[in-house]
Amino acid sequence: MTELLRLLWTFLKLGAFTVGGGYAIIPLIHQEMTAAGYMTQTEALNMVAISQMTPGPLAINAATFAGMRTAGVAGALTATVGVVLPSFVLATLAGKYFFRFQESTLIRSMLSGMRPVVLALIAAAALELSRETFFWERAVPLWERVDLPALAVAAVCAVAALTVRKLPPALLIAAAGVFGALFLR
Amino acid sequence: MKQLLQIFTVMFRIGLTTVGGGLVMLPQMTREYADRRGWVSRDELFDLFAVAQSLPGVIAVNASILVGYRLAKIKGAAAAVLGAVLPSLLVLIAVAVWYDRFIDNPFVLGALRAVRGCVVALLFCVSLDMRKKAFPDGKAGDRLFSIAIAAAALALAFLTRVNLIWIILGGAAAGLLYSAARRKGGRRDGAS
Repeated sequence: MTELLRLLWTFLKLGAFTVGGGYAIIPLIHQEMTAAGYMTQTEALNMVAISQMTPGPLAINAATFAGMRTAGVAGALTATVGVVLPSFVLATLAGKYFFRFQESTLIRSMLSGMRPVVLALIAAAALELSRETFFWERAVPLWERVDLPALAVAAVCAVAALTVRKLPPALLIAAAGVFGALFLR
Repeated sequence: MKQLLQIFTVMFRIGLTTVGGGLVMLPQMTREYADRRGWVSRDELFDLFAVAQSLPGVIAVNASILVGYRLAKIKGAAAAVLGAVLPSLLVLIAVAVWYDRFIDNPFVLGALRAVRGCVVALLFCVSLDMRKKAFPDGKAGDRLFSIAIAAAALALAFLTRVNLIWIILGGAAAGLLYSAARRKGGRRDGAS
């Protein structure tokens, strides 16, 4: 029971403090899961990858997966309710009272400070995840520790995402998955 | 009642068929609600989407709640969010149950190895993409302020173990202080 309450609290926080959508929740969820000892780094990384490969919003997928791994079906439900609840309260209030919600100066000036933070947090997550993703944990010379094929996949993905306008990320992820299943076994 | 059921099934179908994050759900919602059914106008939907993006939380969930509320008040919001979330819940519960069994499969390991690389690349691209929104053109001071905030947040997140939520709240506080200071037409506050 206390486990479920802790999950609920964790995911309420994540739901209430992410601005800027799915990618912004990745650094937060990663930190919460590994710091609390719910998951190893690799498992957390796999969680992000799996959430990308499955249908639906990334954050909901990650929350369900994390809750399920920590406390079974009850955990999955708790985590998902936790992420959604702040949205439900805030969005229905906005739907009721709003319409000029995002034109309020107060909200605008808060967001003007939060947006650069979100950008930085995503960049920091990318840097930290790079370490986990592209390097093996082995006491061998540095050049043998680099996972070159994975790095090459990342480079191709980055170039494709930056040059082809409106390329759906799902397509890139799917292509990478097929490539990996066939050639990186 | 019939409309509630329809809201639920539309969202369920969209949730089940969009891979690659919630933002892909927005164009699908436009097609279903505005183009196909004409329940709301495109303009109104885009307004709702803008609000959905500036509220905290999952954008696709916010958007479905706002559209549901617009169509059938609180019940509509509940139907929409249930429909949007349920596919994820079911699929990911199944994935998590089977995780231990498939995670050692060489095909899965290979696929995950490549997808993880791709995800990291996408994260870099997303943060690069956000720079236009995060660092507004406008006045040079505004731009400098937001770049300084980003640099401070990056250093804190990467070099320390501080909880990221505090960094986000710090950003909000800095934004408030900055615009308060600017409105007084005077000094800039360095707190962050």
